[in-house]
Amino acid sequence: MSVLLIFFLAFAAVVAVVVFWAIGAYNGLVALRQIVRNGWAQIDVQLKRRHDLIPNLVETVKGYATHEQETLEKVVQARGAAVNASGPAAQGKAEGALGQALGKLMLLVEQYPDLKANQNFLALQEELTSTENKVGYARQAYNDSVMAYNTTIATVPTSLIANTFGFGAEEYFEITIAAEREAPKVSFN
Amino acid sequence: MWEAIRANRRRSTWLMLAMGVVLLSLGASIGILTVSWRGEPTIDDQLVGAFFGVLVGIATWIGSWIYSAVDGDRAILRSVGAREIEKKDHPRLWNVVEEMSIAAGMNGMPRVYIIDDSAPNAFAVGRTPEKSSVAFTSTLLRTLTRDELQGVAAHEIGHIVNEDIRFMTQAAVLVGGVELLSRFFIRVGPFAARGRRSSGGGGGTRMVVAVSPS
Repeated sequence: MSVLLIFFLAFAAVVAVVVFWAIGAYNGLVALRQIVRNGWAQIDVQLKRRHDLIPNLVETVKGYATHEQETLEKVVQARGAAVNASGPAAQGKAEGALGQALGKLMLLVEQYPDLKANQNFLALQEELTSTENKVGYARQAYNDSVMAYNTTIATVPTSLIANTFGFGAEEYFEITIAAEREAPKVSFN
Repeated sequence: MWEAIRANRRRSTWLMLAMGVVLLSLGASIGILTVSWRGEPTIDDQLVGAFFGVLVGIATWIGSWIYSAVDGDRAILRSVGAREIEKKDHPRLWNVVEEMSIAAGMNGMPRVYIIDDSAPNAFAVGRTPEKSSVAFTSTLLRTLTRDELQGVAAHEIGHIVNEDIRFMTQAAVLVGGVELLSRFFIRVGPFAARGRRSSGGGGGTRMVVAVSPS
């Protein structure tokens, strides 16, 4: 066996190893991205459900709380914005605003004992609470999967494959509530 | 009834291992007693009897394992009078179970059952997380707040996800194997109750079967 042949075989072996690694890395990235997408689908289902519940809620509240037009209006607007938002980051923001508007509405409802005793309203409240919880739990799984995926596409050597085949970073889903971001003001007067 | 759950769970590991030994020795004893039925058997007769007894014991052991895999969860749920519900029967319970399934990262959710009982309790059964069930007593549902119920559901889903339930269900059904063997013994053995069909006897075992998993 000539020296040249030995070198050629060694080179071929190295190329083969690299190719196999690249295929494995590519498939790994595809799998991670699928997990992210599946996680998002879980959240999306719940968000749609939430959006579907709100018109019902508004109708029910309207019948009892006639003086709360403004608050109801805000809820409807926030819902519209949330329905139209697209992408995890934008949707998270819109959902935060919707949550805030709903929270205000639920506070007002406290003043209407008849409404609070309404079976339809109670059922809607249960569904809304549950949907919110489900969004929260699905969010944990989704964000975990985004972190795993984003870390993989950003670290060497998988980043080479990710860049070559256009695997971009995914957005986290955070329900941002404006008031939550502000630091509490403390004064010692 | 529910107090026994805790005691049973502590012993269930031991039970699982011992059950094979118990069933085999029980089978062997039955075999020997059966051949000793009339007169003095030879050593060979006794060995043959023991051999067939052991075969019956093994068959019971394997049979109850298969049974626990195929129908174990439903048998347990039946024995405590649990009825399966849909979302509309108890939306809050259904939602709480669904929420906890999502939180635990399960594929789908377990079937949900309600048991009419004066004690507040809950348990999970099933062979795999995909084919699992959770049951809650009516009293539990009446007395707990939503958050508290969520805690209980989380606990039971934890059993499902950690696959405690498979072991529990199998252990519970294996106990039923003893009942099977004892019936065999009563029917064909030297002390067989002749001319009288035994109608009782199942209740006690069914109780044990029911209380094993929690």
